[in-house]
Amino acid sequence: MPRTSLLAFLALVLARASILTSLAPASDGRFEPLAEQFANEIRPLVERYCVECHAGETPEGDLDLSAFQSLADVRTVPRTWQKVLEMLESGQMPPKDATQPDEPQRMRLRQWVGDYLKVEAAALAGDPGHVPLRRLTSAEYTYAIRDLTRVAALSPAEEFPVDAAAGEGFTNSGSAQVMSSSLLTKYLDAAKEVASHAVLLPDGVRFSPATTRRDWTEEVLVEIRQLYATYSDSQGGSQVNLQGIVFETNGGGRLPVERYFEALLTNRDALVAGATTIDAVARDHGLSPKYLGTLWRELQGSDANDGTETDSLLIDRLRTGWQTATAADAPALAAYVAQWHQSLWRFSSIGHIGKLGGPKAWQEPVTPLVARQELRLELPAPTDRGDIVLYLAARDAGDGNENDYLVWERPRLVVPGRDDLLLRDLRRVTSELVARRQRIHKTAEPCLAAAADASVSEQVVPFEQLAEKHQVDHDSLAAWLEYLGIGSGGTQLGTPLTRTVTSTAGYDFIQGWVGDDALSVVANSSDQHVRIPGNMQPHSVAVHPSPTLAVAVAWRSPVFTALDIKGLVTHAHPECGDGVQWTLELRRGGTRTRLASGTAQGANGVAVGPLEKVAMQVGDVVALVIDARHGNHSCDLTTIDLTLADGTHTWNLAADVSPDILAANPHDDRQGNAAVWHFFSQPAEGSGSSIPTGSLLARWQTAANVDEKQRLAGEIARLLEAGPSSLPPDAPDATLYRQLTSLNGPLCRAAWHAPDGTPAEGAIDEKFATIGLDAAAFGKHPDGSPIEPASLCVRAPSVIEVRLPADMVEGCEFVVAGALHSDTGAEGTVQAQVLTEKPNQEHGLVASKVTETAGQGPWTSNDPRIAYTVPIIATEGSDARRQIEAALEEFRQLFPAALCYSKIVPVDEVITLSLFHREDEPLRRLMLDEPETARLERLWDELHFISQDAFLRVDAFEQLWQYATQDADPKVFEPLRQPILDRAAEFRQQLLDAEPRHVEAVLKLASRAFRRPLEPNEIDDLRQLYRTLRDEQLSHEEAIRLLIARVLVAPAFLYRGEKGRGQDAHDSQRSDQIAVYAARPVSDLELATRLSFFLWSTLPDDELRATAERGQLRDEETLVSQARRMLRDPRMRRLATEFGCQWLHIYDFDSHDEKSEAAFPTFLGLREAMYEESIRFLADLFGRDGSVLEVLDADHTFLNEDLARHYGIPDVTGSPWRRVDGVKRFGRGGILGLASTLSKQSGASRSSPILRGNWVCEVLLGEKLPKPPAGIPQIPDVVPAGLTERQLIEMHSSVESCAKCHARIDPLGFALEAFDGIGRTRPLIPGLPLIDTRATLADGTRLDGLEGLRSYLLTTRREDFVRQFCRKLLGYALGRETQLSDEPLLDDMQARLAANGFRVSIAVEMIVRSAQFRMARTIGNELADAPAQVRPTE
Amino acid sequence: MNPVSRRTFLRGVGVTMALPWLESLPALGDEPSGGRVVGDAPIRTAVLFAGNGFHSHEWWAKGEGANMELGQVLAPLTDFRQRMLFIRGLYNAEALKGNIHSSQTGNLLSGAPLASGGEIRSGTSFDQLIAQRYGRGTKVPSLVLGCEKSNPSVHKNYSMLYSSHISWTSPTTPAPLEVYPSLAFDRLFKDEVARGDRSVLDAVLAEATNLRREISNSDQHKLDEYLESVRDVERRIDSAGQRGELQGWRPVLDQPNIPRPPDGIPQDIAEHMRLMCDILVLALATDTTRVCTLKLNNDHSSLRFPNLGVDYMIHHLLSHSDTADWLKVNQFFVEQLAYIARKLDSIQEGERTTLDNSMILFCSSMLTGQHDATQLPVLVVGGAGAQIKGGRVLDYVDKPNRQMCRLFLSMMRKVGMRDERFGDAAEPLSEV
Repeated sequence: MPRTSLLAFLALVLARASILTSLAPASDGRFEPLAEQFANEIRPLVERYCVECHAGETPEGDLDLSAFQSLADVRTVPRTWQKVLEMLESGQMPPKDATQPDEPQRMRLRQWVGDYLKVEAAALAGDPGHVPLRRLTSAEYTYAIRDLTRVAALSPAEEFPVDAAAGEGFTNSGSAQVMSSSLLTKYLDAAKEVASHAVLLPDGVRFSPATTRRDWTEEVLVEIRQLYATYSDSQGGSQVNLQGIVFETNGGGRLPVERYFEALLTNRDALVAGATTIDAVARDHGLSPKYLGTLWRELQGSDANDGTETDSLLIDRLRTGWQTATAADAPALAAYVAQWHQSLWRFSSIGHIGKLGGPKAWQEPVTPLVARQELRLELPAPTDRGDIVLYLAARDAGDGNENDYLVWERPRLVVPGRDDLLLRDLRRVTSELVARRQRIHKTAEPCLAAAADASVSEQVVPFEQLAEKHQVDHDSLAAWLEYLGIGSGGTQLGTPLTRTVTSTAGYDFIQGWVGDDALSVVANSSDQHVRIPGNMQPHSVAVHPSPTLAVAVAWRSPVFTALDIKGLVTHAHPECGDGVQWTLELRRGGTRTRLASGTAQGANGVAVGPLEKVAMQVGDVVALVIDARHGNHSCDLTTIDLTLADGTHTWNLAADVSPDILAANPHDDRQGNAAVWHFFSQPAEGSGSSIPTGSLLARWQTAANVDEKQRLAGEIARLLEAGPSSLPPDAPDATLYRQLTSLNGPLCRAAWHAPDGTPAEGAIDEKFATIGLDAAAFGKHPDGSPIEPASLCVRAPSVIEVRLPADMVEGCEFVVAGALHSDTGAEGTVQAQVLTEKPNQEHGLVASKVTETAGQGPWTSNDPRIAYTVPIIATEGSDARRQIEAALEEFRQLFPAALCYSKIVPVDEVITLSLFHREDEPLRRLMLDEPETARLERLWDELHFISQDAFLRVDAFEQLWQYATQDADPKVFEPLRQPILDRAAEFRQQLLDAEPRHVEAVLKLASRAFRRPLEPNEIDDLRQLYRTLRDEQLSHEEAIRLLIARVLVAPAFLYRGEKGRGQDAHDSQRSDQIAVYAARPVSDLELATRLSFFLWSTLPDDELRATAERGQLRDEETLVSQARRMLRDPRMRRLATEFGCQWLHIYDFDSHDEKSEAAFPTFLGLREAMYEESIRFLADLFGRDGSVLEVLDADHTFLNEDLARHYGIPDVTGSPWRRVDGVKRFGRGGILGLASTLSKQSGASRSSPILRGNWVCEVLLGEKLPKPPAGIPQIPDVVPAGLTERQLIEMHSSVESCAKCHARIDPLGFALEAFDGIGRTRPLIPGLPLIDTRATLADGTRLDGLEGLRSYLLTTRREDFVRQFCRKLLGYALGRETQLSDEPLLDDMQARLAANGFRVSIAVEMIVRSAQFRMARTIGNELADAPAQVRPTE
Repeated sequence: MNPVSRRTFLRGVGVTMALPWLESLPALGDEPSGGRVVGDAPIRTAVLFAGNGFHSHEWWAKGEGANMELGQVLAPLTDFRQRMLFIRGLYNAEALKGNIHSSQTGNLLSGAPLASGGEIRSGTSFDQLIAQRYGRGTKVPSLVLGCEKSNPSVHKNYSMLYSSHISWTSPTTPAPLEVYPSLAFDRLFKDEVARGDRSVLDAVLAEATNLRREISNSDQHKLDEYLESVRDVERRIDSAGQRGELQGWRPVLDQPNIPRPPDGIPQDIAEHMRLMCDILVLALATDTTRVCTLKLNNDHSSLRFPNLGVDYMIHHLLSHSDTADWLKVNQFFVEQLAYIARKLDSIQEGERTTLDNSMILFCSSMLTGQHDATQLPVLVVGGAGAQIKGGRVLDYVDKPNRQMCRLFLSMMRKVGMRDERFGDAAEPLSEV
């Protein structure tokens, strides 16, 4: 203390002394008369009756009463005289065997001591008392840590030693609080544990319940997702299959537009009338006010109809619907928007955004505008063999039909491997084909006979000769022979593989023949099993298809024989991919017979065959074809083997080929036959017609003798005659029939040709007049000018109906391109569509569907082919096109399909380059206000900072690169490399930049932990410690954690030290025998700490701290208003727990372990609920500012089902806690009926009236009972038969030495005998003595049961109970035992409570206002017992 | 000021501070000599405490040596009759003042007067005095264990802290009890040095030293506990890896031979006590500490004994009966002593066993459950390095000067302390 203030302080003390004298009442309030009385009356009495024992070398009870010669001596130890009064009042002194004063003398003595103590108390009133330095209790420490870190889940003190209690029986009293090296180690460990929960952020530090980066990251993700979910919908999304992994790529984050429409429509009238506001509607519906307002203005407001907007093609239609819509129409309006969502947006996978040719974003706009659009329609299988009708529809795209001249370019039927058939020629060609078919069918039998002839001959029979011999026309015979592949000069295979590879995956023994896109046939010539990455077994052959090409290995027969065929197909890369499709075919000439087929997936091989005795001609081919499934060829390496044997010779693929696959393609067999094994590719899903397995013709082919062939030929002819009507549609012969009769089939196709130039003139049979279109319609503009001869030109809107013959179209595709007529349509806009059903409306704009197909290429290349079902055709660069584009863009801006990528973590590629994908521009633009946007930005910053994804991406990129080099082109990822490296470097710098901010954050934490601003030297010290730790080679993060630990183990945190209490004046300040003491007000911040620890058992919160820092807390009204605020805060529950439960001796009741499990098996399951009830009851009382008397008198409590059942209170179901009123009628209410108090004051297996009575006496009424006498008699452990527990106790208590006290204690407990050892209501058991809850108290009062006891306590003993409550609350608030100088305050509290309905807040406020609470002793802490003249120094 | 010199300075300052329990601190390196011969094992001191006294008729011993007869409570010690002193009649005069239970326990090992009401004051207990004098020679100066958590309340104006703490490091500081077996094990064997700890401790020490200047004398006293605790941890860090070895002697066991106990407190009291006994034995056998106090239960204990089929009454209430069950519980406590003795006796240290080199005091705060503290039940097991001759009954009941503290003074002599007084005693018990 500076010298000047010390002087001021001394002066003050002297002044006080005189003020005190003048304040003392003239009569009985003064010391002077007491001094005289002591000398004249009291001292003689003491000498006569007391000093006989209480004097000399070893006075009884260490009390030497002979030392008190004058009042001044008395005043040196008032506490001794409090004890004297206690002894006199309880009648314990003088003891029975000593000389007794007469009653007037006894009265006089008592009265004088009482008078003296009153005067002394008044003189000392307000003494802050001796309050030893307080350490935070384990509970306070825990609460403080939780509040500091804002993590409620932390329990750092769980394994600390139990705090001891002192003072008024509370653990927050400094004198019982210990520190030791082992405890310090625990604090240090706990501090480090807490520090391990610190999460470093870009601009500071927060704490988390978790301790791993992964969990911290997840916490931020959850927050971001919650923010996203506030405004977006989780629905939407469709499945995508990428490299065999199926997932939803575009789900979530959707615009919930329907809810907005609905909210606006529901409130439209009110909004128009001004009865509500957009903000109010948004709030009620949980919507974004920003977007709701935007929509309202767009659809309803003035700017919708100001006439300036002419391009709002899409939105105008919405507005039109809006005008008349009601809330019920919201779904329809939303459906309109959704329809356009599908047309205007596409979604891509995230993982490779940014690679060459890859997507730029998850949600990308697409514009269904084209200059020319090819439309293809796979023709559906005709139903009922009827004709198929197509509609070529042209719409005006909603903007009128000026300039809308559309050219349907060369509409045609397309079959792979054939010339296209122009729609123009269809009618005529159909007519020709039908005629031809009739001819061929009529000659079926002789043609087949001729074919049989030709096939058994080893010599080539000249064609003319054959036709002659069998009397058939050349045309028909040629068609049949070509179909059957006879004599046509050899069987065709696909494209041979010609490129070689001499080493695969670094293994030079894996060689083979390859094409593009991983297409390959490879063989392992070694004994090793290796992975490339698919399995290559020793001495095996494996193949790999491409997405569009099947790979095949074929055996061409060098002999004329019958063979047994078997094989094995094994998916060689079973961990991934979707497996392969395989087919075993017999090929002869142009025909293929499918011998077997299936799929292979997973590690187990699939057997091919065995097939027995397959007739084989020289040149016949057995091919094993492997197709990728679903066009997905990733991981499709497939091990194949094939064995053919005729009993003499055996051919085995692996054995023949694997030693030297590169020798040649075709490859020789081991027996010296040249060109036996062929490696080739062919279009996927084998084209070309194969004769249906099991059909008459297939049987004809394999028939061994001529007779059989002849018979079968006859049947075939009959089939052609009669049709397959009786056969099921999928029967082989039904298929055969379709094949043979199809105008597009193998027999007729020879006549299917595209005539050159203009169609041939000539009569076409009338019956074909409905087929196709009149050829004359082609090649001219509606205005008569010529166009391309095979095309049509129309003016939208227009629908052309086209009928196609059913037996013409199977396997065909209808193809046409639509484009505007270059002259007359340049400024037009048309939507062209090929439909199978007649469109019901030709005007207006329709939303197109976007279809996306993966293009060819390795998995690293994104090459999506985008097509539109109903594109808008407009000329590139035309005004009409620009207007449409503007209209689409306007719509997109207002109605994005998705607001944000709500998944954030993409899992849509095998290796993803993006740990977190952020795409939320629409959300920010349309939905979020500024604070929300700022929050979102901050969360994303934190996400990147915490996850350190910038570093992880560097590794991910490297991994991806390595992965891609195996079977694809890694170069597409090259554009990503530098940005990823740059970002990592930038992040490294960001981490460095953040380091000082983390140190600053710990300084802030320290200031909160220390409950005051840091001193400059403290700041220096903390910074220095950080540097020291870094110098010790600790990482930044480790150093920050240790710095946090250092703050949490600091004495300034752990101890509630109050500064400025030094400079004790000691005895030197004593002016005479009566010592002089003084007090000073504690500082505002210290007061804030006192207040928050009193009411909340924790540090001050921000508001309290700020109030203190503004210097306002010293203002009494501010102080009280803060206290009131704090009492209304949920943290006040801690006052209920720490004060209430300690006072009632039920603290930590949830771990009470003193009940016999045999006697009370339900107890363990209930103790937590019992404790919770007690805490809730008290917390409710404080929070509600209820009456102190409710502690006893409440008619309510808090229950859940379990506890209610325990009490026998009906109609409480379920585990949630609730207030239950009217519990008095069940014999409960107030703390006397709580299971916690009743159990606590019982034995392990039975109730204890003594413990309960003693508890009422000491804890509730504050009576001081003497200690039990020595040699008390035993109580039997079990209640003897025929006795109640009460009777047992009564026997015990009747012993004379015990009776005096037990008469005070036991009756209070007997009143509670209706409750058993765990607080249940005892049932009446027949045959056992009745439970007797009647009691006669020591003062003669009779009462019965809880009800009686309660009313006794509330009436006769109300003052005692209220005073005890006040005394305990004061002792708790001050952290010390109450003392004589507190008595005036307690008197005041009691009076004010009585005058104010006993409201709890009155007691709290009076304590908070008191000098005791707001002052600290500046002198005299070392002598708590000494008399003190303590007055505030203001 | 540069930080290094600043810290050095502070450490220097620390030594000059008056710490109440350091006043008796001798110069560093002082070794107990007493009856110990160089090369012999050190004398280990252990105290086992059981609250609430014993069966009123079955706590007795008669005769000498192999012919000694024992009351039923002591039956488990039959094998150790010749290694045991049975002492009657000692008491603490201060324990007769004040309250029952807590006032009889808080000063059991110091004989000091206890403060009531708001204050906590007893006296430094003799075990902690030994630890403070000689504890620096071992990794852990002393181990204070308990099998029952302490009771956070005030009972008849005396803190129940007294009821649960017999070891006091200073008159105002009870040694905190470790009730978690795993943490007790860690205290003995965990490597406590983590990087940066030392710097953190230096920093808080500096802060505490600054803070100390700004607070009142009595608060300074409280803060000194903190300061000394920090220094103590620092000393442990500094001496980590070094062992306080006695010239010419090494412990037989230098690593724990039992696994670290699981976290938490065992549900079963028998298991809990057994683990704590194991740790006590391990601590002494490995010479990790030479002073160990094990409080088997609190005075005013609320333990139950389902393991013995005695579940219907808590220990304290049971003590007010003189039943067969009470006897059973008493024997269960004495079995713990027998278990420790047996284990210590199985460890050979030269010609003697560890039991021969130890002295284990077994006592309670009252003779019977009736709060009678006018004489205490006391046993000493072990030879204290051939300084105590067992197989005897010492009876002081009708003799003058039967202060319990005389026994403590005797035990202190065995480890080489030459203090003239301890507590209310001015001379040791010559018979011990």
